[in-house]
Amino acid sequence: MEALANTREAPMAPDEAAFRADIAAPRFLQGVDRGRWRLVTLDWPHAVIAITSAPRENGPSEIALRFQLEGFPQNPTACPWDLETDAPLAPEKRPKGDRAGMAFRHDWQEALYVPWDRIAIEGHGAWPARHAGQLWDPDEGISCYLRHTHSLLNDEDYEGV
Amino acid sequence: MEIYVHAHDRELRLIEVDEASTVRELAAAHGPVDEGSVWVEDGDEPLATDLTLGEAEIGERGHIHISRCPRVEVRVRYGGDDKSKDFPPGATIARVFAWATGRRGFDLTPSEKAKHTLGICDELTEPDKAEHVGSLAGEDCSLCLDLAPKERFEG
Repeated sequence: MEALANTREAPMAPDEAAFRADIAAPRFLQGVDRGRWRLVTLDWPHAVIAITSAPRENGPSEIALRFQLEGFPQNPTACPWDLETDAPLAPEKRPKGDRAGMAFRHDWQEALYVPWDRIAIEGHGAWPARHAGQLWDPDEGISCYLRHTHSLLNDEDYEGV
Repeated sequence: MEIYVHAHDRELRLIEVDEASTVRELAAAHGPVDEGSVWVEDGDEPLATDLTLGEAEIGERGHIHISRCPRVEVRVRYGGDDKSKDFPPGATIARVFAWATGRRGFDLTPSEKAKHTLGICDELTEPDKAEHVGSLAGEDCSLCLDLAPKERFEG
């Protein structure tokens, strides 16, 4: 009996269970079906999700983010990710443009510089009031992070990389 | 097959139905429906509920909207002015944005258009461009949106 008990898998932690339920829910799935994003890998507590970007002469078809999801549905943080090298995205491969360029700045921490990112919002005390409509919403889940970022990558002023 | 169902409560549902089902049978999974209350996304006219999904050209993971509002009066505020237009409840925010920034709306230049977005009046929230106006409308079948500058994240 003891040997059998030892072979049982440990119960899934609440944050992992919450994330897995979130990516099986209609809000995330419709983004996949509309061609806005796709799950690349999930290796808890990390997930790599690629977000479709607007066509640009010098731009890729998608930009990947590697999410750190511990504590989900508390706000996650994400690092721009290179799917070829499996490493943080080099500065010359990062999205450029007015808003996208600022969000994907490389002269900062390994996180997006946006109010819906955990690391970014923790370092900016004025942002919750200044950008109240752009904050992480745990009820919307990971689609909140993805749709706001998708909007940046599909803005008219997104210039490719 | 699976179909996305939008309604007035902003909760998106994914409902599994048989391909031979009628629009009424699909909508009934959400609740009782009246004739004239089911729409395809961005469709201008309600669907006849006795059509099959194939006849209604609703494909795998297509989107429908169930609404008690036959039209939604959308008012958009911009620069101290406002303009209104009736939309079908399954119209997306992207469609409203195209109208509001176009010649029949506030006629923004391409440069101005790129710098603006739609937010829900007095809530500061920016709805997803794929959301339906019928999901955001109030009990009176109206919706107020602000055409506002996109925010830049600095400092």
